[in-house]
Amino acid sequence: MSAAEVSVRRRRGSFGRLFASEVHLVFGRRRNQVGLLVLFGLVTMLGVALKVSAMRHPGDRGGDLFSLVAGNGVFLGFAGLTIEIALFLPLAVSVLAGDAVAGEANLGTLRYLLVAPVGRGRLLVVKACALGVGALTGAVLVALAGVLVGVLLFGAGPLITLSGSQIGLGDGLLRLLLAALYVAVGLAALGMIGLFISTLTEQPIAATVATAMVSTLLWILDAVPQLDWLHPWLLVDRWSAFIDLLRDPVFTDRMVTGLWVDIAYGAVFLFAAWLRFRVKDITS
Amino acid sequence: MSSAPPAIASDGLGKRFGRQQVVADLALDVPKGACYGFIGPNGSGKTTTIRMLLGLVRPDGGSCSLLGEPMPSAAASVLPRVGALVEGPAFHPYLSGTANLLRVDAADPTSDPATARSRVGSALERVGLSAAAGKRYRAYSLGMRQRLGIAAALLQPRDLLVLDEPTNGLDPQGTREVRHLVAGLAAEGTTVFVSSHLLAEVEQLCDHIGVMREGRLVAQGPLAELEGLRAQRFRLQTADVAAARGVLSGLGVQDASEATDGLAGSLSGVEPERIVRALVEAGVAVRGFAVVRPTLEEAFVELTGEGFDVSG
Amino acid sequence: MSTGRNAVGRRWVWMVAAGALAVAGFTGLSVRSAVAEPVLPPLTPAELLAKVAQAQPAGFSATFEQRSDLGLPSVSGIGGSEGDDLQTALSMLTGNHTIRVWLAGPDHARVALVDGSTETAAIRNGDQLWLWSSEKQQARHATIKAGEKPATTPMSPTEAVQRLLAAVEPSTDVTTSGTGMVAGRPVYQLVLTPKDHASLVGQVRISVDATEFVPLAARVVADDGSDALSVAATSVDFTRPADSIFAFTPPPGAEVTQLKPPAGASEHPAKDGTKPTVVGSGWTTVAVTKFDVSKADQTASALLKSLPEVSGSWGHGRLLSTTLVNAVITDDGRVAVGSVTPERLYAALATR
Repeated sequence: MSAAEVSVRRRRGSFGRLFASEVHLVFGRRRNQVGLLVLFGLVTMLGVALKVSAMRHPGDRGGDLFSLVAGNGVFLGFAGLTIEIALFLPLAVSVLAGDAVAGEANLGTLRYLLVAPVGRGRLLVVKACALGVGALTGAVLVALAGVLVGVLLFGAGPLITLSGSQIGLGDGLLRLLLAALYVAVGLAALGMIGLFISTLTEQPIAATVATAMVSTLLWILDAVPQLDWLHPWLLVDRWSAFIDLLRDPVFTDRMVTGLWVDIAYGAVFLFAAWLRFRVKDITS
Repeated sequence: MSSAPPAIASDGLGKRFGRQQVVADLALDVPKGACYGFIGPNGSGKTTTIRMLLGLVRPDGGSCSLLGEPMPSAAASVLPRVGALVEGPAFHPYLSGTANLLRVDAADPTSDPATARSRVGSALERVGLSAAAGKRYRAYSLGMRQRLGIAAALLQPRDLLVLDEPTNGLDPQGTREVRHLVAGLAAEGTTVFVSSHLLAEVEQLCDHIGVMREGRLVAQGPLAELEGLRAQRFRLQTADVAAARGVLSGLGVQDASEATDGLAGSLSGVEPERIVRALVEAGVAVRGFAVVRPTLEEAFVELTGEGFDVSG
Repeated sequence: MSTGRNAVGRRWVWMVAAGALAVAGFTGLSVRSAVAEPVLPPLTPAELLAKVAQAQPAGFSATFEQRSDLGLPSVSGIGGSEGDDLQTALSMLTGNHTIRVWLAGPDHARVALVDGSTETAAIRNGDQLWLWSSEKQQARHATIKAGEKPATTPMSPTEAVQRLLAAVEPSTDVTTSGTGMVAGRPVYQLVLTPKDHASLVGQVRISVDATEFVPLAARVVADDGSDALSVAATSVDFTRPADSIFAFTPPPGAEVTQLKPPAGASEHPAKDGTKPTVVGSGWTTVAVTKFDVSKADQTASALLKSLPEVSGSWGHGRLLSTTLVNAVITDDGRVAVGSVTPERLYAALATR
């Protein structure tokens, strides 16, 4: 049979098939599974540390997030997001982003995908989507780990909001899920920065390190009070605003602006990645 | 068939990396149905040419087409009909052979997911990897990896196969198998474009040939025609060197030089029969006369200025 | 590229889509600084002030962004753990803050200072007054007698501006200056300029909602032209908030204390019982009160020692200088504060 008789039309669902293959690749990789375990383990460590501290100083009550955990395990989900959002979650996304294009280029599999032919734009979109899934998985896993470990150690019940009101457990869990989704959007935007860097090199480690450095640099800039004019424009500035979900009524202003910042960063860097990748000579 | 567009054509194709001109002014012409041997020493620009043909590298100048459609702009419609092995196999080490081929298949938006497993299975069978299909690529030997690469090129029925050094790293048995496989594919009517630095391989497999030297195509055409181009030489065994030299120059053969027991030189277009008759008629005692063709290798050494690895 | 020729069109769609997304994102970022000047029926300052005075919105919810740039050092350490109210008040004078305000009629109000992962709030629900601090998990409660104006009632920025307008009329040039947009709503711009040029306040610019006549933004410009203080709504919704907004029940586990009913007048009595002496009037008022330096805690006295020393016929002391307010703390335990040059403070101290 000659190939000419075979249809060369795109088949419906081909994008979904490639996306499924990509997700399978990302989550099938042992190193990435270990990474998820590390994210889980950190929340467990935080929970245990807080439990030990609560047992040592029982009556000691503060109002910050970590003290609230002692009263209700669900808060460990929020606390977990708070401690992992600065370093570990961005690091996890950086690893995935480094693999995305630079990793395939390094293995040489990129050239076989391209002659398949995957289509460069299509491949980039699939990689971006997979990074989004990775970001979502990381954030939701941390929240979930918080709930599991927190409830196990401290028990569950209605949550006290920052505004002093009480909300039911279901409402609290829903808000925690929203917080995880919000964090995931920000991480996905960082993933787009990483994807762009990933198209610049054939060394996945270099792309990972560079992306993690960008994230760290943004956090440092955001912590310098003299640069407060710059803060609203930094990607990470409103990442912690998910805490506004614990106010009553929920305070959305900062999160909405935060989402716009995330979308702007994501779009700009995905666009830059595409501009770069569409003309890149694949010599690996 | 003569009106059919060539399977591969290029015009003025060139690429420079930094200051180095890797490929210059390349005019490939691979007829449909041919088995084309693309030969040249390592570093002569073969792989860069293949990368340009497949749309992996953008040419600085010139144009190229695959199966009559321009590359790289028609890549989406042409490449599904082209199977390729580029600069060795490359797969995810922690995935099995089957999983790796399924991933490559998923990348092709025109492939049918319903038949993916059976196509992967038959491609693996064709290269003799069925037994190792479930093993991780990491555990594959060099030869198995090479064969998996070829299997990836055979996932679909193809009109054109572009195989860059397909027998690289294979043991003699594997080499024979791959040659047999490629010959079988060519016999089915698939156009095959094989690059190699191994002359023997090309000689055995191909009916067309293109020779690269320092980024330029120095010769191209049907193998038989190229063989005809080889300058034919004669060797004359005689004790009567001076008389023979006179007869030869009378026939227009000027470059005859003294050899161990007579003269040697190029025929310069003169039929050997005429030379022998003229010598005999002139009373030169001819002990022996032979037409000597240089080996293909000697011809290519002349064309490329370099020796070939003929060990394969 | 590995896409077909008809994909070139798709590619452009991509490019445009990505570009549009990026533009939309950054527009979303900068939308609050949009400079559109809506066309509104002209109003004289008097008319505008009258409308502001009469404004009786059924209620609203709003978010205000407050910025201070007084040239003060960070005061987070001052006041110690005891002076919580003082600390909150002082911290308002530095940096940026977000304030959420809900109002429904005269006796339902909730003002919340949203800061990092904490919240400090004051809630008035009829005769119930609650002060909440999430950081301390502490609720303080008071009951307000009908018709009485409590000292610690939550005061929204709106109410503050209304009060200010009433107070400053005699000493101030009040003009209107075009229109603008605040929180997506058209506003009139009211400009208050002190008649007395000795004031450190150059101008106060107030943005008044063009339909509800509620002040939505205020900006205090120092006489050197810098923005010293500003409060501006970033979002506002003029529907009456639900009653549940004003209902507050201390959460279990929180520390609840009862506040003593305030002692009458709306003014805080000075701590040692003596009222401050007032010199001058209007914008250039200087208040002189007694202040025992020895009572200041360590951080405060350390800060005091870092201030420049000043002296004159009035005595000897230290000068705290900001873009908007100057204060002299004398060694003999007096403090002169005013929005005036140090010379005016020295003069006020001399007229003892």
